[in-house]
Amino acid sequence: MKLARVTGTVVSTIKYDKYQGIKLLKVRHLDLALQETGEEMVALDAAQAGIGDIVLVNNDGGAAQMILEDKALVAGLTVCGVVDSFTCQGKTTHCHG
Amino acid sequence: MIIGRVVGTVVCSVKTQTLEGLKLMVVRRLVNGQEKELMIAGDGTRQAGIGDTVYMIGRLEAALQIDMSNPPPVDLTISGIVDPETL
Repeated sequence: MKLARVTGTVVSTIKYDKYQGIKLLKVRHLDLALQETGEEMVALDAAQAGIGDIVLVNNDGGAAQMILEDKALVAGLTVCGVVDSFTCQGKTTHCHG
Repeated sequence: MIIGRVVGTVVCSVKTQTLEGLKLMVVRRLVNGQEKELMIAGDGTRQAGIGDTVYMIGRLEAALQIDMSNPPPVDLTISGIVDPETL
């Protein structure tokens, strides 16, 4: 899994049917200094994340099936947690507010 | 899933049998709003048109989203179209 920030939401009426009812978020991966790296991508929300939240994203199809409890779901990037804080080499970073 | 804009279609009269009936679209990849390389994606929504902003899934999931029981040999599939007025 990786750290990411939610940068927006995606409104999409025409989509893969299994995505009906699942919120779609725009996320960008973060480094440990919470700087955005890489490109903005679309992820399924499984953690009620909001715009600006620091989240955990998982990029595995099997994990998406487990998280969203649907064996027939085919998905990739999934937001599976909202991070409160993380500690690295003794330094704690708080992610709220 | 990565973001792109549909810029064209691909017509192949001779192709792998499992690709029959699947529309292949030419998509300009968008990286943080910047236009990047062209890609070919299978149209999972079957409703994507030129000019649509779409999000696409890759790897094995691309083929499974088209048809889980008889997956075609695609490595990129349009999973959905972003509603135009919300861009």
